[in-house]
Amino acid sequence: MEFNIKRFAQLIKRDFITYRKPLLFGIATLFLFLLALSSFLWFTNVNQVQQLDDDYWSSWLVVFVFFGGLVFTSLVFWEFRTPAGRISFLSLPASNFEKVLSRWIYTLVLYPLVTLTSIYMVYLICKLFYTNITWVSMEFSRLTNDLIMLYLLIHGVMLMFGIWFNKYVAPKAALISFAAFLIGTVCFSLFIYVVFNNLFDGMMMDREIRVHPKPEFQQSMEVTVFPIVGTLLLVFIPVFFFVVSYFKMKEKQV
Amino acid sequence: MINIENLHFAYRKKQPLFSDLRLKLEEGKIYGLLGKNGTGKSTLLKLMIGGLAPNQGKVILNKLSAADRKPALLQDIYYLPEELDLPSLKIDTYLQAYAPFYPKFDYNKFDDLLTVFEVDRHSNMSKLSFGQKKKVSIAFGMASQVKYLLMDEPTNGLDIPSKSQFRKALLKGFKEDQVIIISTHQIRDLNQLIESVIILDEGKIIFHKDTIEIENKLYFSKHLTQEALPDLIYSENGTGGYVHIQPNNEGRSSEVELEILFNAVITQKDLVNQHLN
Repeated sequence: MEFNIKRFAQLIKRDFITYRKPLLFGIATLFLFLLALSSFLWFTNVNQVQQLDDDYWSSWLVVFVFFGGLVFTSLVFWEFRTPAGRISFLSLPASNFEKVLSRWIYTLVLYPLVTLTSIYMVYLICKLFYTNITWVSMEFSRLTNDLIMLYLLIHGVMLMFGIWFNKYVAPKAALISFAAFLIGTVCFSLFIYVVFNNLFDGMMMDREIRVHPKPEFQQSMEVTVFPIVGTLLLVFIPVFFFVVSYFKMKEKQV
Repeated sequence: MINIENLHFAYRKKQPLFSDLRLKLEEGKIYGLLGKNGTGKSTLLKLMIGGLAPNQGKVILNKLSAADRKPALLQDIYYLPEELDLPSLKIDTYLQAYAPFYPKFDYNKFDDLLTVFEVDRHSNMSKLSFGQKKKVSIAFGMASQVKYLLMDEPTNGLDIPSKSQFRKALLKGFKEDQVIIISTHQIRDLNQLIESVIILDEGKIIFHKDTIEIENKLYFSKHLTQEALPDLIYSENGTGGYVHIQPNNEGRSSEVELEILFNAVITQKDLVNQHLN
């Protein structure tokens, strides 16, 4: 793995110069769309209820940060779509590590940060004319960790397939992931069937199996082990997929 | 030096393109890589830049394996593909984005070449014609002053004056530590430029000689009618009459007609090689 900060900075500069127009256009579109929609809702509100739906902002966070981020990740190796683009990118004098790291940062750090900031700025502007609005509901806050975990997982898959495939990354990744999920479920079910045999009835167990841990044990697990496992997963998933993507990039051919 | 050892490569397992290909290319020469369609010229160039990985064997440049795509090597290689995919940027913006990757990049030379090619430096590349884009890429490649300049059909899309300007510019900017490889079908455009001829056929190098050696050992002559010469190696009816290739036993001087030589090698490889060895 080769890394040179000057070369890495030049790679980022090159990406920014090359894609600044569509990127700035995308951010401006997101900002103006949300602002226009929120203003439209306010002006057309006959009862002048000074409130947006509780899930208004969280819905847009899911749409733009979560789904938008995954679409952006599937397009981050845009240059691979043509043979000449692949040649140009692969023969660019930067290491494979730098090429993958730059895209990993764009999709995992910069994109969520920029979209989140844009949506939050629109929220702040809306607060000027909506007197009583909340950023995200408590229910959504509780889901945040799961959403981040899910984003990390799907992001990693998209990044890897973005290098693997040259075109139509998102549908291909979705199909393969679905097939892998199906095969995994069947294999797991077969394993369970072999182990539990007569307790197993198709995809369901025919008898209930319950474990009753001591309350102290349950509590200590929830306080210590679960958060540690959760944090480790938060680190492990992106690192694992980064490593896989790096090796995929090393093997990438025109 | 470019050293290709024991190269095996196949796009599909059962259809090998190269089997045990060996080739050594030295600095200070302009190589012409010739061959019929589908013989693997572009593939060989892509293997040299690390865009493709050999199934077996090695492609070594500057003592580094091309397949590893190390930045130290990539900054010393420029590959001009036949089809271009240039970003929609102004030329000077493109320069800002890409030139710093090549440490020896000469900005003045780039400007000079653009002037020679009559391309405005401030124009947007998306608005340029294919030929003009090619000129920008050629100028960039030459100005990058890399050790290995590989070009796939560089004169394709260039107008007649530009072809001549390209030849002049390449000769003017060529340095003794450089290796230039030009893969082309348009041999006439580059007849006077090429110093060493490599001919690929059916995945094998069937001919690899310097033009000086060819000049010394073969004699190319033009005749209005087909002469019944006893030592004739090859004869072809061209637009201006017949071109004959004979052994150059008397030390006569003639210009190597690459197109005729190529056809002679393709049809009578053993006979031509026999007179050159």
